[in-house]
Amino acid sequence: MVFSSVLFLFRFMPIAFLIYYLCPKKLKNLALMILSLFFYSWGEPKYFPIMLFSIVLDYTCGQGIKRFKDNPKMKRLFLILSMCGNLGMLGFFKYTNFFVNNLNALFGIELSGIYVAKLPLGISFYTFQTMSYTIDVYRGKVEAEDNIINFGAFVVLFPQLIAGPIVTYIDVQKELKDRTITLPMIDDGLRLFIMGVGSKVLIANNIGALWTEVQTLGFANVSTPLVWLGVLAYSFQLYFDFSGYSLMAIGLGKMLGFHFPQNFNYPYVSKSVTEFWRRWHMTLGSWFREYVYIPLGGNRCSKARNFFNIFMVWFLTGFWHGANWNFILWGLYFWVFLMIEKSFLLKKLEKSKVWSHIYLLSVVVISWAMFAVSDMGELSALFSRLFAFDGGTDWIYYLQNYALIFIMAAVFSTPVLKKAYEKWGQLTWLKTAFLSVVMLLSVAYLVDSTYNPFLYFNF
Amino acid sequence: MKIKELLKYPLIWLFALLIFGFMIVDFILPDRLYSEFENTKLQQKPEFTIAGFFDSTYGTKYETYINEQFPLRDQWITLKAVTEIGLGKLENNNIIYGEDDYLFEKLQIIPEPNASAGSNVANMKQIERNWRFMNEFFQMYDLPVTFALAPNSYAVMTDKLPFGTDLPDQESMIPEIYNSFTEDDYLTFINFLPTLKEHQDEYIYYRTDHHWTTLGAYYAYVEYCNEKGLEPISLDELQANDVQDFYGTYYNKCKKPGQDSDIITWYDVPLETFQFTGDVNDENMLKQAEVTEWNGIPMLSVDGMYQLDQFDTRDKYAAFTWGNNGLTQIVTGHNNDPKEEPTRLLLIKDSYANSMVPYLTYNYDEIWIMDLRSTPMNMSQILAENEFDDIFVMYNFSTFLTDTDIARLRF
Repeated sequence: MVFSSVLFLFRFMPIAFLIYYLCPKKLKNLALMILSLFFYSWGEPKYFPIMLFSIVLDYTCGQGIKRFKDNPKMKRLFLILSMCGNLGMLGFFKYTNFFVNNLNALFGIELSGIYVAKLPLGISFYTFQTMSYTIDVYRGKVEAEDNIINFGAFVVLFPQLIAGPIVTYIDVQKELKDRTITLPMIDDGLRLFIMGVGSKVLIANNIGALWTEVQTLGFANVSTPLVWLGVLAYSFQLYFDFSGYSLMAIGLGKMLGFHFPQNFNYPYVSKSVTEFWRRWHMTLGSWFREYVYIPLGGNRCSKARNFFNIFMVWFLTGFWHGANWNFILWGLYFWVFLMIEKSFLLKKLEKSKVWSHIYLLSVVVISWAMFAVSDMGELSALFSRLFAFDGGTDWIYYLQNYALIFIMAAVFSTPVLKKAYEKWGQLTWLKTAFLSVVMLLSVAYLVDSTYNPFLYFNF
Repeated sequence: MKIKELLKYPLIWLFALLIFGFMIVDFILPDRLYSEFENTKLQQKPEFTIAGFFDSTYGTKYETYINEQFPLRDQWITLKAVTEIGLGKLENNNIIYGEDDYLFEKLQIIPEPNASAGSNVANMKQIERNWRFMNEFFQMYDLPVTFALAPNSYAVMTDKLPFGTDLPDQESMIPEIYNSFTEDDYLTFINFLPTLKEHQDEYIYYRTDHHWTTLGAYYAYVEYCNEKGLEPISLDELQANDVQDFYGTYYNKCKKPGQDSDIITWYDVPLETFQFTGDVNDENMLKQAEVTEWNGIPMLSVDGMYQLDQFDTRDKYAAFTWGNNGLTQIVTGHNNDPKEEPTRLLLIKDSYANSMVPYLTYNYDEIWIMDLRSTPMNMSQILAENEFDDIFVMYNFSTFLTDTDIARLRF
């Protein structure tokens, strides 16, 4: 199930929240776990056992580490078991076909891959979340959770299950055991949720239609200006889609009594790639820093080793985003810019007022072009059209169609709305009116998206 | 928790009202079977089965069900269309908003088939296939064939398109397609586009539908007669009837707020007999038709050119020739071009031809109409067992690019 659907908004949400709020405090986590499991299994019940396995595995490993806290070997064994289990699941579902295809191409053999119609929902996210739990228990940073229901509720917690933010156990451990839900929290959670729905449905989907159209037409068949418009549209789509989803998750979390970490902080206003990655998908960045970069030695080592550590992080970041070469390429592309910035550019960028923004946006928009297309032939067609100028007039029509949405997307990529909220947020009626309009329009777009008139007389 | 406290947070109770309200109304409201607005049957409540739940077919159906039965669905869709206009969009759901309330299809041509592309997108693979099948058909028989591609409204009313619209250029593509077919003495091509362009200020295309009007079909018909040396019937000799409030397929897709409706004109045309392959179990049809048989195929015989009750429904264009039926046989009884022997035309067509057929009855004694999408017999059989003086193949440009039944010409 996804949040931005009629099913979620008008079935799951009212029923789930009603049950949850009416439940006595003691049973809230149990209710949450069952509701989340239902949410997870809807549409893909066959992956239900995987989720149960995941909960039991990490719970057991946490308990094992706790029990053998004086036996380093056993402790290590449980840690390795958990990591193998989580990475194994992720590897099996997400990466098998990538490795099989590459081995086949490399050696001219014909291994057959596995058939995965759809990845198990949110597997990239929850494997990271549960792994962080066993690692933290192993490091002694956090007590192992004794109550499997609390733990299960953490793993399958529906707001952040599908697309982040990556909430580590440390982030929510206190609230798992004891949390209060207040009306101001629900109110604020709703605000964030509606803003998230609006980002996703009104901006991301809308502007994304332009990119889809450019892609459908084929990069070789459209003019250079139109391809640029398309890639720009995709950049906005990605941001509003992803950050919108995070906002919905954070909002829902708040309505349930949890405070999830922030995931996006206006990344497109950054002045450098370094800054951009502190503002984009922030929980993923912290995860890799905490569980890859620092264990590898971080920067407390030789320069060469540090160089390599950063390389690893970006290789893995790319690969995590998708099992394809273009994602690896995309990760390493950022590594190159980060290295350049680290050695000399960063200081200059921070002083610049205009050029630094132009630089950052160009680097990022081009990176999204790389991110968007997995087929290498297509990708080269895209880049040759982007940089080998091909005039045409097709873009005029699209610019007229999308000008206003582009402007809106650009404006909402900056903190203006946040500033407006800080200034006028106390005016309840204004805030309510604005959010009501956003919500109603979102419902209209959601309903319309399933509108597919059957034109049997369309001959 | 006090109610008074809650009142301080209007957002919470408004939102709760929205989601609970619509859920409850949805439970109470009876399910609709059919949507006139969308011209389609709606998903009914799926039956829960364990097997269906586990293979997720139940979940998918249930989601479609609550989407399609959502309260005020039509109004939500209209709200979206209004918002799109507010956002300065020149189109909605792939229908372009032209001047003077004209709607146009955003026809696009792409190299490879793409499953996610809309019905407005043609791909080169299908186009090449259709071209090849048509060419093979031309080569297969030594019979006089006339071929015409009817241009779509956007290609004729170019002035009404928004500035910068870049759609396939039918003006150059139609002659190009004609020239690309293998030369053949039996083949005649007719290009309606220049004639229609001359009349572009008249009401020759519907604003809300993808068809040409009865008047547009008339100009094309005159062109056909000129090419074939026939005497076209004059419109002055025919009695016209108007049907108001026609909203066609383009409107159905985009639901443009404030859109003006179209008027359908139809002419009284007497006939001797009219029979076609229709649904012989359709009760409504049986009230108006007699079941007959031809060559072992059950047919419906009616005594008029038009299915008049269709004019009262949303799908008004389907009144012409009683819709798109696989095989239709007309004995006209009023051929203005009599020959020594009775003449017979075979018309192979899509729905554009339906509004032209009434005129053609004045130039042939018999007209047989084949719609390849639902034809009950093979082309080769029809052509082997029956004689035709003329064969007229006519498709509108857009259908010719996208139709998947043209292959049947070869069998």
